[in-house]
Amino acid sequence: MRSSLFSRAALPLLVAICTCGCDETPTTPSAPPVTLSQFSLTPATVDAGARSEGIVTLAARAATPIDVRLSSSDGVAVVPASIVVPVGATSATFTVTTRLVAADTNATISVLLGADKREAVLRVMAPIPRPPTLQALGIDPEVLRGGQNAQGTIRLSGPALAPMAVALRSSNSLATPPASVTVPTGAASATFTVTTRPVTLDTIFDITATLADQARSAQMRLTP
Amino acid sequence: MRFAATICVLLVATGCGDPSTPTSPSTTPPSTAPAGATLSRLEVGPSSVLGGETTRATVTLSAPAPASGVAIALSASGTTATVPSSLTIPAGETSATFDIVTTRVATTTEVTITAQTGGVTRTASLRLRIDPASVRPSANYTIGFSGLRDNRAAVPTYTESGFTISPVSAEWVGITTYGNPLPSLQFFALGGTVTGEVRITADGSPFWLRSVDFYSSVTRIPYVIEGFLSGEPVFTQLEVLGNTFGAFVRVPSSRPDAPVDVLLIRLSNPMPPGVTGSNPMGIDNIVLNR
Repeated sequence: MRSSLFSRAALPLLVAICTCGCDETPTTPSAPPVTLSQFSLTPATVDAGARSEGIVTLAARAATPIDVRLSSSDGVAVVPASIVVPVGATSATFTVTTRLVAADTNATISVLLGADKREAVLRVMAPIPRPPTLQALGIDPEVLRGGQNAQGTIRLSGPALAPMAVALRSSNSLATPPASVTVPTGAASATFTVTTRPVTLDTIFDITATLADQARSAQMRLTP
Repeated sequence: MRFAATICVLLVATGCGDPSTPTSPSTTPPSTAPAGATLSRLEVGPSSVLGGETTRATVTLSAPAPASGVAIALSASGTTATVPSSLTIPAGETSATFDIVTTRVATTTEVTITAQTGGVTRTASLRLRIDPASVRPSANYTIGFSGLRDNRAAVPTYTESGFTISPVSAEWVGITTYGNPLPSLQFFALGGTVTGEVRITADGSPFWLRSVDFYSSVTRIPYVIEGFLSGEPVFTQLEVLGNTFGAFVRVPSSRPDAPVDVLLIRLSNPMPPGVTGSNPMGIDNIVLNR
């Protein structure tokens, strides 16, 4: 029974070799599968419509051409379907082209070699005016006697495109900033007054400025 | 047996086949060109013109023409471009030029120019573009997606009034429960910003965009509209509309006077990360002229 099975399995290979008549050396056992080592995008942030370059690096030199599949999570970034790492090379590059969009978009670029997968995020920046961000909050003086006033200053990363209201709050009712301060159009900073009350003990607290999802805090200390 | 067959095919392809097997005949006829003077190039420049314009082409030999000159047969595919039936490169010259006369075209047309001598053939491509000055709108159409019957069914492509709307990115679905009026074409974002794009064409014919209605459930509406004619950009419209809180908003075209043959509408669906649910964003009432 065992002999019969062996013969049946071996027959196709024997027939193939005999029919072709070549003195082919039997193939060696296949090499271990090549895996991915690294994947990166340069730059990782681009203006919409610009290009980024991806580089795929293998863990070992390619003994045969290695086909690496590519994909993008979002239509704003377009990649070729695949690239080939040529024989003898350890890496290959490809171009990511981006489309014009009206909102900043993160596209995840994936490279796939067998079951091995690597991802990198490409941030595509829309060509739209961007409001400045809240950069800093300062209090002067930081240490003062209770009952005196301090001056606070908020600074933006650039001129305001329109009046921007920055919310203010104190962690202690002994010091009170206004509820908000407005940075006028074209200005990059604004000042406000923090009024305080007399204290009997040294008291440390925070003043916090908030603009949308950005917050900055500064510490104050009141003395008797 | 499948393994055996594979082995044989590979070995034959690498030279293991029967040497008596005849090789396939060459497709190149015998050359009658004078020795040392073969047709080496055919170049058309400019290779993209408005239909109705004249352009030029140059044929080049690999060596100076002999005393008798070299006669070259010329032809153009289709009926929108005309070339002389032949020309002769005079003795001692290596090249000659000829005119290509074109006619106005209703759709972008690719023409193949062919030069042939001594069994050698060279070809070059010529694109005839639609002349925007030669086309006028004659009828109004509003694409209201009335043909979308199944709620939330994927729309791989949609045709209405001779216009074809093809999703380019994101999965667009027909929504029969919401529209301006019902139904509308929408896509969704679960978190982060998702780009949804559709491509509108009219079988290559030029058309004009008048307006389009956009909708987003809970976010602002960043959009880009790009118009192309014969592969050339005509206009780009980019804007971020405020949150309409679920209402459709009509966006007029910035170039209602400009004919296009491809229109791309790209919406950014900016669902904030971490927000529960998904944000629908959609299109309705694309008003077009053709």
